[in-house]
Amino acid sequence: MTLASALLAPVLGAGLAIPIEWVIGLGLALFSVGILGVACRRNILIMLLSVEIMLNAANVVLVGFSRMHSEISGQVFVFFSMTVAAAEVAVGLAILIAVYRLRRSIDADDTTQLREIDYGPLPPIKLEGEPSHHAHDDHDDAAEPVGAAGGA
Amino acid sequence: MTTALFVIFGATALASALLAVTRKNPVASAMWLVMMFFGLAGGYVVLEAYFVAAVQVLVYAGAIMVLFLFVIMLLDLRSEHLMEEEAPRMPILGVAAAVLFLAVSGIALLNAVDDGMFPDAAARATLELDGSARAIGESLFGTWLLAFEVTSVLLLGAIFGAVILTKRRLT
Repeated sequence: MTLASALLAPVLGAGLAIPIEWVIGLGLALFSVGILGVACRRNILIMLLSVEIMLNAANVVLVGFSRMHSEISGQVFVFFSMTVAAAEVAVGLAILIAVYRLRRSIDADDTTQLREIDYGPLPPIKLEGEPSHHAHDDHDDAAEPVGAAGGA
Repeated sequence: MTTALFVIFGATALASALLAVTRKNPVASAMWLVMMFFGLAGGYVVLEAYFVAAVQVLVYAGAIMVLFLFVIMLLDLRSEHLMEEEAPRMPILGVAAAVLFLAVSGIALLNAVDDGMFPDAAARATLELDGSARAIGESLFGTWLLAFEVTSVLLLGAIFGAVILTKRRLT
């Protein structure tokens, strides 16, 4: 008997009185709070915190099912989940710091470099062996013989 | 008695999580998250998963939260423009996603309860599970040894990723 169980034995009594479905319900509720945080907040830091909440919800469910089946593997999986959470936080916060250095902001709406890049006014695209003004002329004045000859 | 304790710890964790995602100040959010971690650790103790509870406090409330607070300090969040946050484009969609998930999974859970998939009080009284460090260690370094070793590679990758991302000068 471990020290913790020895200390808590008079409080807890024998066996497990907690209904497993309550444990699962707590996990589901926590997960939905995490979804709320990820979906409704624009602060990347808070979004990472919400992901932590969701990982914890998964841990709660793992511990609950571990109790239900009297199988210790569920609690071992909690450790793997914690390892993944630690790795995710380390890399996520590193990305956050890189984004902050770049944009001076941790708002998710400001980090759209992969979606839309502001190059300023676009330079004209020059194809190899083709004068840059050619395509322009072709559309503006198609009847001009010089432009038609150049296109051929 | 145990059920009452679990309800108290669970309600604490749930309320703290809700407060954590709704606070404007990230430091307040982090502090409420610490509260949630402690609430869950209490729940694990009531569930007789003692070692998991200890590691929850050490790793989550200790290491991960320190990492968060460290980054919050690095970012100098007292400056005004970091505190002000635009409202989401369509907040109703986020709330709808959360409520929909809760409804669907809740219905599934209630169905499972109706089908008798969970043990009743008499069956639960016979459950025996040793949540001590010895039992978990024997399983971790026996059955799950390969997964444990692969975890070390994952951590190594995370270390490399974090160092490369923060060290390189991005322009």
